[in-house]
Amino acid sequence: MPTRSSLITLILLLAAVSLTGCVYSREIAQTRRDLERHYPEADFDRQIIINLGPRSLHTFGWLAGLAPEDEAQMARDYLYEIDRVKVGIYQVDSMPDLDDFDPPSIRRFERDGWEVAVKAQEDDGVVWVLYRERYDQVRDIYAIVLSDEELVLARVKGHLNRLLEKVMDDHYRIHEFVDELEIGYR
Amino acid sequence: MWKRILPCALLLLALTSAAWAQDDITRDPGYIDLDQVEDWFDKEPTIIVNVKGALLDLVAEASRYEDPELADMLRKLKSVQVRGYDMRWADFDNIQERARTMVRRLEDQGWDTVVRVRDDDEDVNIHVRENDGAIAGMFVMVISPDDDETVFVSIVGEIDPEQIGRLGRKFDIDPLDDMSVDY
Repeated sequence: MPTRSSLITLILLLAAVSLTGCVYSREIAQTRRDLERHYPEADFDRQIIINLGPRSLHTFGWLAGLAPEDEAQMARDYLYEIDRVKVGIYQVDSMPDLDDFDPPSIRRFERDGWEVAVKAQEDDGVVWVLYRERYDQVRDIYAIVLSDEELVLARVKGHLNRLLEKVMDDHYRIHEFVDELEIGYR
Repeated sequence: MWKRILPCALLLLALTSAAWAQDDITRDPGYIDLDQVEDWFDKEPTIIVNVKGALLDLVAEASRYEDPELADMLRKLKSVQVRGYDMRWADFDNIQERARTMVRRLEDQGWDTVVRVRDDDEDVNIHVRENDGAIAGMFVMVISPDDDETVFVSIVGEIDPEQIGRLGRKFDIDPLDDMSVDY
């Protein structure tokens, strides 16, 4: 039977292996570069980059599955539906002019089969949400959120319809359970 | 060899053509291409919403617990498109005229005008298209030179006009918010 310290060492080793390369994303960096190149007045300072691929996510899912709690089992199920998560957070040192803000990255994404789901522009910021379908399922969502404080770039790839279905089913079950408890308590 | 390949190729072609025809929302009688209004403005839209297909399913699913009636309504829709523009007073007459031309064309194509309000500073038009006894599409135009007040909304699918306000709240579309159409 493995000792506690050997189990921790194993988990740390697995985490180290699976997290290799998870602090850089070429795609996220390119979107930021595109913005800075197209809007020379813009200047963004990197704060956080997270890039978790299927190996890392499945390792986290497997680790979560080791815990006996129901929530951990749910988290494991959710993580198995996600193939990749990329997040980049940049501090805005200098804001681009938002008048007619139309970053070239959006055209590049559209050429690659992405579609604009939402664009909302205010005086002090803009939000773009793009998505890509495959086999009648949303498989990719990419969000660009620019405010006067932060630029957030985030991409989630996976079986997102299935993921949401699971989340809603669990959410519904939990609420039903709580409702039953409340009725019993009264 | 060709005798075996050709029927398979033809079958594949027929299947993909059928799937393409089914998925092509631009052929739906309730569809309006909002790209045509983009030419009216010399600036990019400040609001874009394009929700259809699997993404619409995703939004419906997300509403399933909090608002089941809205989820049911969303499942009957095929697409929701919105374009919002900042418009200057100087462009008001020009845009109004283009909108009127578009309305005439829509009416020629079988769209009914259910609301038409013309004010000094605002034009509001709501049109619906029927198909086989049910509403197949709705088109809302709000033209006003105030910021973010010039909005075009196209909804394709089976729409319950009484539920339209819910849709406005869900997608944060002000002109639809708290609106119900007596039809």
